[in-house]
Amino acid sequence: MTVASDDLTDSQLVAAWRGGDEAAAAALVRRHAKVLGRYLLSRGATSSDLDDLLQETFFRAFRGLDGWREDAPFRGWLFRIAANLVRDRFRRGGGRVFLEIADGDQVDEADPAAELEADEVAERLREGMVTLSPMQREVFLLRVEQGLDYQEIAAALETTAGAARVHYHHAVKRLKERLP
Amino acid sequence: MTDQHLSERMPGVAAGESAWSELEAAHLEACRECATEWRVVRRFAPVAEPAIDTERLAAQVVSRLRQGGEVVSLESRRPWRRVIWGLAAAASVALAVAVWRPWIGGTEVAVAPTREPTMLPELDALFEAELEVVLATLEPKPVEPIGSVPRIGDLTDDELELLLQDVEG
Ligand SMILES: [Zn+2]
Repeated sequence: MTVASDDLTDSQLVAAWRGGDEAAAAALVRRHAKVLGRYLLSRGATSSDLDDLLQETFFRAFRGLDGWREDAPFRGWLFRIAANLVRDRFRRGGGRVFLEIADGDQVDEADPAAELEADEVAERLREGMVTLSPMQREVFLLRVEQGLDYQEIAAALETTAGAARVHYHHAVKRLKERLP
Repeated sequence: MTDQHLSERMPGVAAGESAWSELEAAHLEACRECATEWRVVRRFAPVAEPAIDTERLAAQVVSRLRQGGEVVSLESRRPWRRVIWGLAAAASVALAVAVWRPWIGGTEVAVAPTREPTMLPELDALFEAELEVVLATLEPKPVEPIGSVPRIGDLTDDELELLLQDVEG
């Protein structure tokens, strides 16, 4: 049987790949590559390394399917492998994680007061991020910056969706306290 | 309309996947708590997805899988990449130095007010292990037989909330 449809769920495609259907693996790559690429870039990958990192992530994900719980979202599994890859890479390269904070919505650059306020908010959020536990920070960034749901975050961070939700709300609470 | 409902919707709206309904927008307008949270969340909204040739990538992955090769270090596969990575890391350090801030709360962070990437120290989170350790240190209830210490996954949301409040203050 050959499955080429992008309408199938991740679990169905994984099952098809396990049954020897290469098109199913290709469909999973096409489905998740861009989101995963954005995540890798946010964790410090350069665009010249992106292809290699993506290829390695998917390769390891398919080869290591025994480590994937079938009731967990496949995208969470991919993020977990990608996170381990960049963590290993940065451990060798000195240990860095990148963080981006937008300069605010619709700030009028001709309005110095608004720009100053936007800068101040970014500064306060930066300080707020420092006060979060690593787990809170990672959950918050996966949820807001990467758009993962709690089930996917749980799969990515080897925790539970309930714990991820609690971490997220604690992170948000602490960041909110930083704003005037 | 509850704050919780709005809170759960924020990441999706910030990412442009959906829009506020009239009811939600009205709540956001009137509720200071939600408005503040929205100010936080939209700052971290996802940037655009990178341009990736997914067809080519899929073909490469399938080809490797077909060959059945072992998982290899990226450096050993393409040694020259190491040099480029080193240069990139050096450039990153330079950028970090340019925007570095004094230590706050014992952790170094540098964040520019724009979407220029800056750095945090690597987040070597312990994840579930972190919580399991805390659980393991809790006094077991006397009535419970040995071996019944719960795992994180067994806790209700309320129990998790209490536990995490203990851990995180
Ligand atoms: Zn509200």
